[in-house]
Amino acid sequence: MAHLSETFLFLELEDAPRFAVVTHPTAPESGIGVLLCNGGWISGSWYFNRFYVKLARSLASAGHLVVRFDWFGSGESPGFLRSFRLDEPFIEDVVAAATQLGSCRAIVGVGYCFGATSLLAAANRIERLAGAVLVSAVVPGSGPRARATKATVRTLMRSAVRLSVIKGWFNPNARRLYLKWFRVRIRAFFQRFRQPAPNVESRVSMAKRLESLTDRGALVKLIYGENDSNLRTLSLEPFATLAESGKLLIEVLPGDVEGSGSLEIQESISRAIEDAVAAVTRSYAS
Amino acid sequence: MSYGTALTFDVIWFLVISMWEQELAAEWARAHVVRQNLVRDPSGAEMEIVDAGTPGSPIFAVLHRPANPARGLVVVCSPPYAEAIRNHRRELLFAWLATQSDLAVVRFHPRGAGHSSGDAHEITLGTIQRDVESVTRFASEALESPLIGFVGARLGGVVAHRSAALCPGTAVAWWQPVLDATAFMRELFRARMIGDLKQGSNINARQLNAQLDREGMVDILGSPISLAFRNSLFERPLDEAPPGPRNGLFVQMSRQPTLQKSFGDFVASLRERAWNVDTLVIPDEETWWFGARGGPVEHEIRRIAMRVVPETVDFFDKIEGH
Repeated sequence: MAHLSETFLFLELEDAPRFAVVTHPTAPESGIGVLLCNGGWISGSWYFNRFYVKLARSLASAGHLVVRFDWFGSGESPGFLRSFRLDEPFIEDVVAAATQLGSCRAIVGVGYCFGATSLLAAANRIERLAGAVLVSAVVPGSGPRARATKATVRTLMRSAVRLSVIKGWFNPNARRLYLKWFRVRIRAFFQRFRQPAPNVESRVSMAKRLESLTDRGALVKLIYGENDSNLRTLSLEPFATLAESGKLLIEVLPGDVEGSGSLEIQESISRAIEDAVAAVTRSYAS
Repeated sequence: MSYGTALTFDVIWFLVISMWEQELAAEWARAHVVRQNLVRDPSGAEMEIVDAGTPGSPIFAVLHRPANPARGLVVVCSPPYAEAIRNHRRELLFAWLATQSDLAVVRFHPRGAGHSSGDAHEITLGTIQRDVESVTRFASEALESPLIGFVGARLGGVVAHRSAALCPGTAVAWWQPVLDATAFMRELFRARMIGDLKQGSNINARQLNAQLDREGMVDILGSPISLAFRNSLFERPLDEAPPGPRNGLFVQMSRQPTLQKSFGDFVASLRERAWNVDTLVIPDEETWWFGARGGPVEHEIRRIAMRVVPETVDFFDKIEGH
C-alpha cells in the first residue's frame, strides 16, 4: 500500500480563505470522491476524537479521493465566527471544497449535524453528487436559539419574573446565560429590519432538498443514534412522510451518535458511512 | 464584590467582548491566498501550512510569519486528545496576534493527533516531547528567528517547560497546566464515568484502572488512552521545571478567583529557582476540559481568550534580549 499522502491547502473564497485537506487514494483509484463536512461547533476538520481524519484515511485506503475542510472562522480557516446557525448553512464552503474532487466520476457527501444541513443546501450546486450520508442531521428551527428568537415578549416577561430567574441574576453563570439570550433577542429584533439571509434553511426546504436528491437517483442515507435528541427529526413533518416513503435509507445505531463519545460508536458510524460509499462505488462500477 | 459591581462588570465585559469580536472579524477575514498552503492578512503577516515531520510520518505544522523580520520565535505546545479541541482556536488567535507584534509562532499537531500521522493510542508525553523538538528545529530554520519561548495549555504546559529545559534562557507561558498526574487521571476517569452515567451504565475509577492494566487501553469519551500514556505521566514529576533565571507567565483558568494552592506552590518553587514568574488568574467556568465539546462560542468569544491571548502576547513581547 502506498504511503499516506495528504495535501494541505487554502481555498480562495470571497469573504476569507478556507483551509482544506485532500487525502489521496493509497489503493487503486475508484474514481469516487468523498466530501466530509464536519459539524459546526467543534473546531477543526479532524473533528472530535479525530474521527474525520481516521475516516478520510480509511476511505483513501479503499481508493477514494477525500476532502475535509474547516468552515469559515473555525479550525485553521481565517476569520472570526460568532456562532453557527442551523438555518444559515455555509453553502459556499461546501461548493468550494467540492471543486477539489473535480477529477472524480461521482461524489459522495458526508455531513455531520451542521455539516449535513450545509451539504444538503449545497447539493444542487454539486453536479456529480451521487450520494449523501447525513449523520445526526437536525431540523433548523428546533434548537434553543430558535426558541429564544421565537419567544414572544409576553413569554419572556413571564419567564423574567419567575423566582428562579430572579435568583439567577445573583449567579454569575446564570447571569451570563441571560445576557446571551438577551443578545439573541436583540439580534432577532434587528434582523426584522434586514434583508433575509440568502441561504435561510427551514424544515420544509430541507425536506424538499432531500426529496430532490432522491429523485435525482442519489443514495441518501440518514444515520442517527437511538439516544440522540436529533432522532426526533424523523418524527417531524414533512420528514416523517419522507421517511415512510422508503426513499431514504435510515440507520439507527445503538448509543449516542450526536456526541460520538466512544470508540465503539465512532467505528459504527464509520462502517455505516463506508458502506454507503461502497454502495455508490458498486453502482458506478456496474 | 457587591451585586451591583458584579452586574456592571458582566455588562461591561459583554460590550467589550462584542467590540473585540467585530475588530477581529474585520481584520482577519481580509486574508488572501498567496500560495496553495499560505495565506497573508492585510498587515502582511503570513500563515503557512508545512510538514515538519519525516517522509511517511508527517507532522502537521503551521508557521506564522510576521510582516517584518521576526524578533523571536514562540512554539505552541498543544495538549493531546480532546483538550486540543478546547484550546485550538485560542492558540490560533495567539499566533495571529503575536505576528502583529513581530513575533513568529509555530503551532503543530503531535503525531497521533489532529491532521498529523500516527494513531491516537500511540501518544505518550515522550512522543509529544520528541515532536516538539523536531518542530522547534524545523521552525527555527524556516523562520530564521531566535527561539524565545514555549506556550502550552494543560499537558502542553508540561511539554513546554520540559522543552524549555533543553533550550537555555527560553521563557514559558503555562495555560492551566496539568502538574499532578494522579489528579489528571482522576479527571479523565470522572469524565468517562459521567459520560457512562448519561448512557445509563455505571463504571468506577477502579474498574477503569483495572481495564487499563488488563487491556492496555481505555476509552475516554472516544479518545483511546493507553497504558503507555498513563505510565509516561508518572515517569517524572510533571512540575519538574528547569532552573532559572528565566521568565514565566502562569495562567490559571478556572472558577476559583485566586491562585489555587498547588499552582501557588509551583510558582513559589520557580521563584526560588530564580524564575521571574508573573501570574494571571482568569476566573471563569472552564472546568471540564476533557469532556467539553465547546465550539467557537464557548472557547473563543468568551472572556478567557480575550484575557489570555493578549496577555501572553504581551508577555513574550516584553521579554528582553530579543
